[in-house]
Amino acid sequence: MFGKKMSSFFGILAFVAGGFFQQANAEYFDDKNVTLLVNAGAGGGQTRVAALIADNMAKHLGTGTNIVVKNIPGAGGIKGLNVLSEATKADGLTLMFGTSNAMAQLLGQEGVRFDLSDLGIIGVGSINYVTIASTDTKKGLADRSALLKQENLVIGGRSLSDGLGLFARLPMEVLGLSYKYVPGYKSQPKLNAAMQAKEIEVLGTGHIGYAKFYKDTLIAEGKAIPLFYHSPVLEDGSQQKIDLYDGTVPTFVSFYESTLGKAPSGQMWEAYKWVSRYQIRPQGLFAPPGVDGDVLRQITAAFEKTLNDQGFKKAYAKRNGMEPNFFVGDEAKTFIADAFKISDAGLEGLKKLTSKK
Amino acid sequence: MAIEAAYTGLLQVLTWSSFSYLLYGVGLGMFIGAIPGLGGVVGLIILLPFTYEMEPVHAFALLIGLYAVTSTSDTIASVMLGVPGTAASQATILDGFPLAKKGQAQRAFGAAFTVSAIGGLFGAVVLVASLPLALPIIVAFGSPELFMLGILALTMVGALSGKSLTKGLAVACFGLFLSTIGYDDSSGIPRFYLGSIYLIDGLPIIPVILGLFAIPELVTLAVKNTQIADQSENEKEASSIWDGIRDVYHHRWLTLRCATIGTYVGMLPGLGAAIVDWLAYGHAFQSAKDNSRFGLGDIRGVIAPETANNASKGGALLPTIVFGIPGNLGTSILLSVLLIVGLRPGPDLLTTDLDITFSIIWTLAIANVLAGSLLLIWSKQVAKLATISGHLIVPAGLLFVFMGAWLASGSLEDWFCLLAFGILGYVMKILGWPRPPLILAYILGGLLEPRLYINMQAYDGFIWLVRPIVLIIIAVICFTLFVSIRRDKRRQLKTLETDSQPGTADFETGTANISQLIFAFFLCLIFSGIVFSCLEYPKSVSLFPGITATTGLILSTIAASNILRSLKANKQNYMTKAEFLSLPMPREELMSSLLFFAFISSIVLITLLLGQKASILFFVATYLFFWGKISFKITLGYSFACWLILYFFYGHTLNIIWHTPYLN
Repeated sequence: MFGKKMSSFFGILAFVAGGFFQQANAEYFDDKNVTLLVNAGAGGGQTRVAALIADNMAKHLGTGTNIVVKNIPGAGGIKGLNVLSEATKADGLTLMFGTSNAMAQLLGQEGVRFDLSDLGIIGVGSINYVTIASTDTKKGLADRSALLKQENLVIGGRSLSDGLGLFARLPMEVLGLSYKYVPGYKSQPKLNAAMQAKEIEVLGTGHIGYAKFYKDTLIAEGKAIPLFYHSPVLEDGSQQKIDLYDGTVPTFVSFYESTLGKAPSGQMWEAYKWVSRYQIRPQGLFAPPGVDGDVLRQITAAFEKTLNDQGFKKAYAKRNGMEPNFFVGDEAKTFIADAFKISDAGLEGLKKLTSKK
Repeated sequence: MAIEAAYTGLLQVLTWSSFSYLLYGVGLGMFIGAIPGLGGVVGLIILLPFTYEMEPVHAFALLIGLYAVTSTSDTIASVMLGVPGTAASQATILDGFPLAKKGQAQRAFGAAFTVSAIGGLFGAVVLVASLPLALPIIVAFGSPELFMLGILALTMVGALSGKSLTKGLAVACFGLFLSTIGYDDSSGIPRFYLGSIYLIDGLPIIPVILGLFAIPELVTLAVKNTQIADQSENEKEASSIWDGIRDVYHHRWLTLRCATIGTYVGMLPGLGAAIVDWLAYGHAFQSAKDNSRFGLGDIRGVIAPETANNASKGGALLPTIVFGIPGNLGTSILLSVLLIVGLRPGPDLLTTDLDITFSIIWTLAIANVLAGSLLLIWSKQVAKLATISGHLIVPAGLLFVFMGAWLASGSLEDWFCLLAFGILGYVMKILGWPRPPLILAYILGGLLEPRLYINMQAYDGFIWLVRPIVLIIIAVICFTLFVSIRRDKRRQLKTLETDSQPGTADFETGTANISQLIFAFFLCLIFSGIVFSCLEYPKSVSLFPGITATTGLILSTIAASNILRSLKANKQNYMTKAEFLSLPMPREELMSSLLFFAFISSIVLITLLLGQKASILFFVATYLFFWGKISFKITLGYSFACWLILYFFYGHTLNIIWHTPYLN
């Protein structure tokens, strides 16, 4: 009898304690300020998305929670990731949205002091890329079927390892076309200006840039054509179809197969496969290393609710031309872990592309 | 259709809601532009989140209201303190600050605010007129032309901002080298970063500018116990804002020409307002019949850059609106807002959304006139700052300087950087080495190096040097160098004839002595070290720093040998050993300066232990009470006001991340 009473007592105590503990967790973010770091410059696409997340996620995190965006640009996002890894308290009150720059870590780029696998990975999001070429090349490029006749194309990009440059260069490498790569254009508008000034002939752009800067201007005027778009290469070697280009632009793989009559292969193809999977999802929401598991789960749940929030989805689609496409939680963690499982040939290809003589 | 759109756009701006947003943007812009270290970009970043859900006209009324006026109010810090309020107001310091020291701040303000309004209006008008014509101009200026324009600006600032072309260009080379610290954008290889994470992405510009300009001026005020207007009552020349307005009328053609320069150079993507004020200043100098007063308080040295930097705002908007190609960081943010509110740069903004384009233009015009008028009305009160005790300016000045530096990356390294460049700036000031070339070169270096690399790659070697516009710019560079060398030679001849010290063509002293020589040798050593360090990098990565360091080494060697020659001649003629070894300033002043530097360094130390609010307030209170001998009551009130600024403005409005002290 006494034993039963004691068991009931401890049971009740455990229930109350559990409830209290649960309650404490649920209120963790109430009336708190959360800083959302962005490892890119203010005014850019990453910051726009971060601001949207900040506006919508606060209410899902807690009552009276406030999220403030703070930019730490530099070094292709490496600086912000370093700060998150080394100089941020693991209390869940500082998060980071921005580029994961897995490639910098994969290639052992100098200055990288973060390890993505140590970070709290909450979600990773995708954007889509298109390669655009001027029609006014040396041999003329009236339509994409003339691409294989081109020689010494001048391709513009930001740096040796940025996504825009990679999605312009890698297809040419896989197709076996000769080109000259000119990095140093710091932003999409600079690439736009360079193409208009006929300084470069090929560039890569995200789907937002395609819609905002090229579709109704250079492309509509016949001065440029979208060659192909890039999406994750699937296990069977085909590419995921994405409904963003009115059916007028093929995937790179379908272009390759239709013009050369065979499937792509080789070292650069291996590199392309990696880039198409992991550079396609360059954005992520991260927490610093060491954040408590329960707090991290709370943040992840809040992020998932935000992604499903109709107001958020509508605003995101209005700004980015597509609905949010994020892996969240375990799916995101697996994705990041898989990013480091690259074939030797692929790694060699990436190193070759990104090294400076 | 255009007239109808213009009328609709005007009506949209003149609604109560839009006009309220415009007023708020103008007010905030005037405040932010006046505080060194902030600048228009900070203001745009603060306002950006508020605009996401706004109507486009309201969003742009707010943002353009701020964007248009920061280069009007930044004149205040440039004239009163000799500190560039923003990067766009460096050239104004050369003549604006000497005018304030002579007690003619009102005249400088009268001229500056008038031409700012005129320049801003001109830029808006040209924006409208040039909409259909802009594309050929913009695409005619590719990387080669933009590169040479940058070299032209450097040549002008090196030639005009000091007494010596060699020193100016040597310092410019040092600025170019500083811009190469950190990641090379094209290769991803970090250079010269000394293994420091702080430096791996380069030196942040705000602590560098504030250190070089603000710290030396504040140290001087503290040590010399003077007012800003430090000349005797007999030497001061009374002036009013009407004198300045009359000056503008007298130099109306110069104003028009500089507005044109500002607008069309502002259109060129990437160059921004930092370069237009130097190009305009250089034009004013070269076109003047008598340019002997430039650098000593010539009103044309205020009119030219102030017109141009406001006009450039309208110019920079044009490629942003028409092509989605922003001219500078401010317009990049505006472009972002265009996209967020659902507008598309290009045909839409010139056809179906033309009324919104006109509302932007009207906002630009109205904001410039409004800000210019308001500041003219208040300029008398602002000019009185020149007559109050420097001890009342120093603490608030240092508060804004330190917190402005903190905005760079929110780390204590920003303050170390600030102090390091503060010491360098002070040494350069007392030894007569010009500082503006260093800053402009640092800003331009980040633009010039990628452009050089693009030119070599995209145009196969050096063939780009024979493009027509490039050749014209090269000719202007040669002319600038010729004018400057001739000026230096004339000055040397005049010195020999009169056997007196060279007159000051800038506000820095420049008497040759052993300290000058040591500094020149120090520069030679630095450049030599850089040249050797370049050997460890791949050729394409070391090309730009290698060229600048080699050029800098040659120039600083020439400067050193010139100083040595002067010293030998002086020694033979009249200089005693004591004079040869003399310090560049009185011993007491030097000791006070060292003590003051130690004092402001304590801000860093106390921050480590107690945090920023405590350290800055401690400094303010102890400075006022013990150093400045200010009464307890005033000290208390002043310190409380500083606390309010720290808490509300930096803490809650800018949402900065404070340093976490050890004793938390």
